[in-house]
Amino acid sequence: MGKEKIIGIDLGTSNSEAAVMVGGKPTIIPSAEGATVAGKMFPSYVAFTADGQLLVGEPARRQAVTNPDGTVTAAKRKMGSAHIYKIFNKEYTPQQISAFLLQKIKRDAEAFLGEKVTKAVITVPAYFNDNQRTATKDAGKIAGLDVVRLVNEPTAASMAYGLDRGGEYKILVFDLGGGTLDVTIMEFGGGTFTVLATSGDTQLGGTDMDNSIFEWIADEFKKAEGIDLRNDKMAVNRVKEAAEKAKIELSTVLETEINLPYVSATQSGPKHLSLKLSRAKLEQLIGPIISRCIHPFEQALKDASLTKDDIQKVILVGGPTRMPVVQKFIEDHVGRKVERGIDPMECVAMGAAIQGAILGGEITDMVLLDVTPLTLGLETLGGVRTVLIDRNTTIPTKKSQIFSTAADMQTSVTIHVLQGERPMAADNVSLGQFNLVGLPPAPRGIPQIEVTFDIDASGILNVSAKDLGTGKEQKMTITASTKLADADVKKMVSDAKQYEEQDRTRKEEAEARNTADSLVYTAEKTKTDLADKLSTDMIDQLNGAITGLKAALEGKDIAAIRSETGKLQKVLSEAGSSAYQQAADRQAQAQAGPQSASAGGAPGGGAGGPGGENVVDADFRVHDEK
Amino acid sequence: MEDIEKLKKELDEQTRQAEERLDQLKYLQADFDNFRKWYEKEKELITALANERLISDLLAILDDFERALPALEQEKDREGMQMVYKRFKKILTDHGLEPIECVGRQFDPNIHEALCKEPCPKETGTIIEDLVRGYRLNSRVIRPSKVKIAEQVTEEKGER
Repeated sequence: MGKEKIIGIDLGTSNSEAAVMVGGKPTIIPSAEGATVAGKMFPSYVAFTADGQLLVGEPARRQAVTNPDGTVTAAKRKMGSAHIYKIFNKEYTPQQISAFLLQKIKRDAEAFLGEKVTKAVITVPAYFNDNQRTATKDAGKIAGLDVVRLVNEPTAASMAYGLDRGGEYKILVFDLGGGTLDVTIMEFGGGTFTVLATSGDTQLGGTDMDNSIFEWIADEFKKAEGIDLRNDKMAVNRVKEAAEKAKIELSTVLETEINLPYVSATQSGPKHLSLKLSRAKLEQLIGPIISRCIHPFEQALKDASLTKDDIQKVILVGGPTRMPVVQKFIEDHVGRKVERGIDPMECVAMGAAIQGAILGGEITDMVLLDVTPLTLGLETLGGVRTVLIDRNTTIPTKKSQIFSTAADMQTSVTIHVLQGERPMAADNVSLGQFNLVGLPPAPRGIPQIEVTFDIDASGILNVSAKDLGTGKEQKMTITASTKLADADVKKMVSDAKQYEEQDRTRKEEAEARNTADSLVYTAEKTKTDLADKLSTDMIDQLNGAITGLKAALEGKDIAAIRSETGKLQKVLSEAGSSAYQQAADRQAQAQAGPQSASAGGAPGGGAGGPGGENVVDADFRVHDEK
Repeated sequence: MEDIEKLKKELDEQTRQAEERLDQLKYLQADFDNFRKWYEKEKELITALANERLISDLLAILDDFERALPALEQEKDREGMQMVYKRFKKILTDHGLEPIECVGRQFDPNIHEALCKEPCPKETGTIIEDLVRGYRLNSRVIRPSKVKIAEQVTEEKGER
């Protein structure tokens, strides 16, 4: 049983959205109508049919054209006013209309979570006055929701980007929605957001852009075919959908094709619409709309008595801000890159959900979940990097793995801690190294050294190595393991991709060498152990194969090492079986020792389970070996 | 004495904190467990949804066929295209696609979307034309029908 969840609601003018913390992450609550039909959003439509039925959301939107008198949309614009909606002789306040929407969201949230929802955080525009805020709270109350807090939309968006976790900065939030533009300048410091200025345009948004594209398509078609598609309802519908789709596509590609076969027909036969729309052309079409953004932007700066150079963070909200041209407009005007990584259509609802979780006690400073940006591991035999903690693992976390020595009588091991995504040790960043000394002399592969990587909640990495035989332990603390600049992390990850093939070959080579090396060891040990059980001929064969492989190991020819390894393995197994024929039990014992060492050549991908107690025979390089 | 008081206070504080954290841990554990269950459910949903996305994108092709076929005048071409259309439609039907019936029925905003209305002797709200056919996939509406509905001409316009 968890505590009751507090959901976050972005109650918008044309669309609303809701989110809730699930497993420590803000998650969008889909509308019951489903993702394919309506997206995850709730259209802010409420309608009454002639026969008294109440419709909310997507169904209300679907009948809006044919029932204009019974349909209310954009009730948000009337919140806090004395406006009364008269519908079929009944009267409704804007609060009541909004409450119908909130009720629907509450219902769908309950279906999604499988539990009762009675508490919510609702977002409002930063410029909402007391009346408008009270009305929004009342709407929640009518819907049966305890509105635990109202949060400014730009504040919620900033929280979704994690800007509430310390530091001090001035933030510009540029919220371009379907039909409105809001520009807000805020200051964050001492744990609170303060609105410095707001500006906007209530008649500017994505719908205007779709219309510009629609008009262009209709004009082009008229030029080419002499038919005005604007007179044909069905064609208008198809073209509008295609226009919106093209606009969305052009955010990721440079050119798209609008194909509408059989869009119209004349006496001479069917007419098809086929047009190419490039991003450059689109930007030209919507240019006038974007240039209308300049004024509110400059006004907000002026009202806040700031210049663009004072702004440290820029956050984009709303679907149209996904368009590269809009992002470029902002970046050019502020002279600063915008924050990325969160869906601009979802960030307000997500921020509200985060606020809800904070108020509900789900998040406290103590459990701010963070992740390790890069893989952590250590260097093992042959310069191979062995992974202990994968990148993107949520911290705090602790992983242990058992290693052994690479040479007989080795009395110390070096723990070389590495950070990075490359399989060879040398290509990663070294975080530090230390030695565990005083191991009792033993054959290779026998000592058991437990290495533990422990990252605490603040990202500090503690590495310890313990010899399980003597209980000797050595430790090291690394504080810089998670505090890397984003750019560095990105570069390291992309390098890893770029060199993937090359790295793989190198790692295979190192592994082939390790296998060969331990095979030589095993063979020599077998030879000594079974000296009295083997024929002279067999010993000669073994010696020949061992010398062959040793010679190959001196050189750089990996294929030769592999083939010599194969030869030695064959001879060794013959030697083993001939010896077995003579004395089964003694040999069995002799064989068991070397066996584990021979497996030791290749550091296995031993992802030890939590608290990993499983032994992986990965050998350390010898202390003084380079 | 003062020291004892101080230590007592400290102990109380520590105990309170320890309890609080244990409580937090329990909730977190429960939350994680719930998340795992939710994830299983979500995985099934994602698979279903992936199909839903693909099939709703393919509806555009189905529409194109339906527009193309009546326009094809040459009998021979038509026959071949008809076969392709039928096969395509069968595949979609086998995956659970079914058209939403609409002409002659009462408008229902849960499955239909009204694009326009037209004065007509039929009862108000009757669907008189299916402009874009709607579909259900395994009984979920993946595209509502886009329709023209009747507005009865004889009725007095009191309520509307």
